[in-house]
Amino acid sequence: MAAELPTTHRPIPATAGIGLRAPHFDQVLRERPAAGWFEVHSENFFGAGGRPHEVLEAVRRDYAVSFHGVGLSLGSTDPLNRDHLARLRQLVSHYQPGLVSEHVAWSSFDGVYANDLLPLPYTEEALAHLCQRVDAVQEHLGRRILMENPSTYLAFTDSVIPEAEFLDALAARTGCGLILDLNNLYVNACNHGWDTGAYLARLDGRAVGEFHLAGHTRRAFEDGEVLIDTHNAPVCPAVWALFEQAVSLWGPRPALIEWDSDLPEFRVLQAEAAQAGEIMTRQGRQRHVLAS
Amino acid sequence: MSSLRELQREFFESLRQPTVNEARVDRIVPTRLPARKRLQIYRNHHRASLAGALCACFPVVERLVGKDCFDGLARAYVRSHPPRRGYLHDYGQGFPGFLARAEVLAGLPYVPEVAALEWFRQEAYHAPDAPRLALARLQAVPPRAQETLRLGLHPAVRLMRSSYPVVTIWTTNQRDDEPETVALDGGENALIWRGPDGIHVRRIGEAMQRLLRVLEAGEPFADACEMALSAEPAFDPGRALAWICENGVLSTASWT
Repeated sequence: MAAELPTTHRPIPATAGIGLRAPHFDQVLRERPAAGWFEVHSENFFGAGGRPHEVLEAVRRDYAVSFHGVGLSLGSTDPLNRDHLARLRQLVSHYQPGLVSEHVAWSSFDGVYANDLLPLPYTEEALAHLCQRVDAVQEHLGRRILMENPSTYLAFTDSVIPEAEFLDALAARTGCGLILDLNNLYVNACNHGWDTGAYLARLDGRAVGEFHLAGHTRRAFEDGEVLIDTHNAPVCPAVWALFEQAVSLWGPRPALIEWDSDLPEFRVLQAEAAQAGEIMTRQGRQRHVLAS
Repeated sequence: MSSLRELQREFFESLRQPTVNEARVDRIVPTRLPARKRLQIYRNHHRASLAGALCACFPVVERLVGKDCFDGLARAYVRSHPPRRGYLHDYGQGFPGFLARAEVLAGLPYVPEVAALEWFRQEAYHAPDAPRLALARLQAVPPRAQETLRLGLHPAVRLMRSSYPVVTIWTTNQRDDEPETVALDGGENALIWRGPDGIHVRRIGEAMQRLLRVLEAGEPFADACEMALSAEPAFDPGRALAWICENGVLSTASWT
């Protein structure tokens, strides 16, 4: 990383943003395409230098940038990984992103990493543990973070707290914000038989600081099917409908189009972002009419 | 042990072990789709995503041994060398050494060497940034400084010496068409570095390899020239120096 950049970070606007991944680096630098803002995976910039940092330095000059973490393993009962946190802090203090976020999940045990976001049991013990870790991160970074609802393919018999209530309590106790990933919500609702309307009604919309939108894959077995959060497809109609519902309840928020594998051309992501933008504009107008 | 830790221990064992222990699935909510199958989704993701990360770093190795063989080796590596960090750019550092010990590759001893070259490319990609030495600065070195001149390599430079033609094998496998036959007799020295326009791999002669090794050790340029000339009396240090400087291999110059 080069010398310290100016500290004026750009806040993330309540418009549609796009997840920036390496296959689009060249095009984004060459064309500076229209995008409300960009989100990157923090860990993709944990290397010391080279192309990733060169790109990020250039991108953050022209766009607001958000850092989304996938490896801090906040729900793990291993000690908080101080090396990982120190790297994140260095990155955050250097690039001054508009938002910093992580997941309601765990990924490591006894120092071994799964490279996945594993499900937590929704218990008072897990909640207290996660709150303590989020507190520690917010204190270490000196800023508020957002925590994202996970996608899960199984539930634990230990769980006694509904997910929406678990997220609400996490936000209320730590002061963190939430990312509501509507694809994850849809995937979980299908996988576990949840009522998405009840989930949205339970969640405290004031804590929601960002939406995520992505695609999933349907995996059929002879005795049932599971929706898998693969981030390799367009946002499906049911998830767009959930997004519209959430925006009608709480108003626009930064809304991210996330695509992580089988990446399409950049213009496909732009088209998805435009659709998210239209929904927020339309719902914003309706809310304005209702309020006046 | 806390109940949460106990649950995580059981879950992680199920994730990592070759087979799922039935006793481990009793904390998963029973549904029409058996818990074992739900767990299998996480088990598959763990192996496939990490094998995929290795495949992204070692594409030529995959091409040399074939997709199925590579996948088997990658999954064995994930079992014996799981990640110990929450990020992946240095996952795979031990893979060339692992391949060197893999029985299935005993008849293909050049494969681990090609893996080492691919890993150096990965290191060069993520290595720290540093200024590249300008030719003008080199030309401004006063004659009296020739004896004490030291030249520092850029941190994104790697040197490799192999008893196989690794650069030829690697280069031949960059093209999509059916690769030509590479004669395996004769080793090669490789220079791997990050220039302003990307990562480069180049075969270098013995004299150039010796010159760069001496510079890498922080010794004076005069000693490096002596070492190079001992390998090839016709070696032209001035031309070599201009070439490494123009290609971004050097970072610093100092003298007393």
